[in-house]
Amino acid sequence: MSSVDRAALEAAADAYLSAVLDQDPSQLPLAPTVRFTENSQEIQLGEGLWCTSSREPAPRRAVCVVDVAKQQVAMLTMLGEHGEQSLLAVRLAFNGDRQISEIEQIVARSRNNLSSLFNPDGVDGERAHFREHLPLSNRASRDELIAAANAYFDGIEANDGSHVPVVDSCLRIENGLRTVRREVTGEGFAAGFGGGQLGVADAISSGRYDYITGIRERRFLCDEDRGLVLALAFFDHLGKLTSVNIKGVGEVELPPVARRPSSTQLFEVFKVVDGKIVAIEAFLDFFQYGIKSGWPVESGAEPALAAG
Amino acid sequence: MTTRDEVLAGGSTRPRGARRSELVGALERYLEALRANDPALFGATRIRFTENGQELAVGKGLWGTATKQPAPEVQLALADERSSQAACFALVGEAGEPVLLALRVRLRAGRIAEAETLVCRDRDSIFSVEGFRRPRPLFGQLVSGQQRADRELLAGIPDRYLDGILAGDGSAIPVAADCIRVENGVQTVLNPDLVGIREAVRDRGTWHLSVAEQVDSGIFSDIEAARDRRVPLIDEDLGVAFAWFLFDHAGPLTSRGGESRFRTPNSMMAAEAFKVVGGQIREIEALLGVFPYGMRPGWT
Repeated sequence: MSSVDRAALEAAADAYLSAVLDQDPSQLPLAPTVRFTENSQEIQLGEGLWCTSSREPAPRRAVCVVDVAKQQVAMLTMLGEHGEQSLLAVRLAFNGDRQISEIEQIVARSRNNLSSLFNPDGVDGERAHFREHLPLSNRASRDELIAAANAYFDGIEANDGSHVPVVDSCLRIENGLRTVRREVTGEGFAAGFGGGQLGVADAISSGRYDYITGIRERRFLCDEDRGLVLALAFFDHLGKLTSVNIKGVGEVELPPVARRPSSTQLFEVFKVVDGKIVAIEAFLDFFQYGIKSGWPVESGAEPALAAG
Repeated sequence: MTTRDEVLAGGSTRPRGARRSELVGALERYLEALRANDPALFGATRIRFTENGQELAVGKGLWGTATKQPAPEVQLALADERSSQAACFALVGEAGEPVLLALRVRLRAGRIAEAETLVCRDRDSIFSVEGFRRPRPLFGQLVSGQQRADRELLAGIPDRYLDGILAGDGSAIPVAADCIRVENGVQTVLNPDLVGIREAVRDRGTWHLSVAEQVDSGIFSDIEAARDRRVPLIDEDLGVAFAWFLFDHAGPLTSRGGESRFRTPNSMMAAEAFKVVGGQIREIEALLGVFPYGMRPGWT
């Protein structure tokens, strides 16, 4: 039994991307029992994105989250798929033999993004602030990191941002699109699909997320050195509402995508400094209501021993 | 759940299951309850329910979003007394807009015990409410005498159709030259005037062909598998085999190296009814939905 260190985990994410682009899973150190899911479906390695990836356009990695204690690494990157831009978020888990035992990925594709929440051009390179290591005094524990992410999700479920530990200046980028603190264009709900001009906490309190009926199957990876927590989760939309009442705006009609049952699967990374969320980056896609991850929630359980 | 053998044996319910009128009545009760967003209306206590391959609590999915208008319209109702099952294709309202529903129910002791649904909402894809509403008189006609197929022959029809598609061999399919196929309300064969065909796919060049000719054309060589095939229901009186299955599409290239109809991997769920007269498929009605590659049906 031996463990994989931080540098090797990060290198494994790059090696994975390279293998995907070569459409050659045999390049990877795979455990005999490796499980692979893409968009929640368990399929064979070599299928799905492994058949459609392309070297053009060249990949642009946005964020990497290394969880040494859990022996897992995750990456959010734009990559080419048949010459078009897709967004890949992938989680790799290693076993005690330094082999990859779990591969879980979502591939967000413009075709599926009925909401138009898809802007791969906005994934224009590594987010520098997500790479910076934090001084010891600014770091949060694993429990604190997970609590921050849970507070964010709980706040959305309750339409109440007041208990979310987030700084006013926090930017949130979803599928390459900035969804808070931005210039508002267009009309109606589209003008502020996410938060519009508001910051994260105010957007949550505004009532515009009332159509999100639950956030389930939450699992987490933690990178304490960098102050990162990655949440894997599903947003459920029962689709019962036809409009939401947004504070200061009034009743706003929801777009068709929010008026039918759907579930959003997402990889969402939070940068936490001094206990507060300072930046959020997420990849997500919309699927049929009730879709399950295909992974036990226990696989997100906390490791018995935290890294030293 | 039903295997093909179970269908041939007459289903698991003995003695003989529900009568045709009771079965068709169950479909109507289901649609009325759906319209009212009130599953209690059909008295379901223990029911296994799936929508688009996902097992959900009754009350979720379309149960939460169905609206009174537009009112439900059943296009084709099928019944299988031997397996106590009924199925239909129907138009129902969701958020005031029509969506297309394939519904299969199984009755146990007079109650709906299983409900399997496919809801087609994707108006940007192949989708025509007008075409879906067009009457299909042949489907509803009783088949009798020499023209009538026995249960075993009907049960084998979907396999022969799908195997022919995978082999790219139309001659392997017992299908009439004038067989009409309507998918999500759009006639996808023998349609030279491209009625209901959206702009983006009009130049495909196969819409005017017959079922067998289209299979021969190679257009389906982007289908790598037709899996999880079931024939849960056989309506012997109407001569209809009702099948549920998934097509896998791996990506941009076909098995023959040509361009696929799909640029990214997906699995397409199909609920499909085959009208058989004189041993030949005379009409096909299908609902199709596109989902993540590798999706399972939720039933075995």
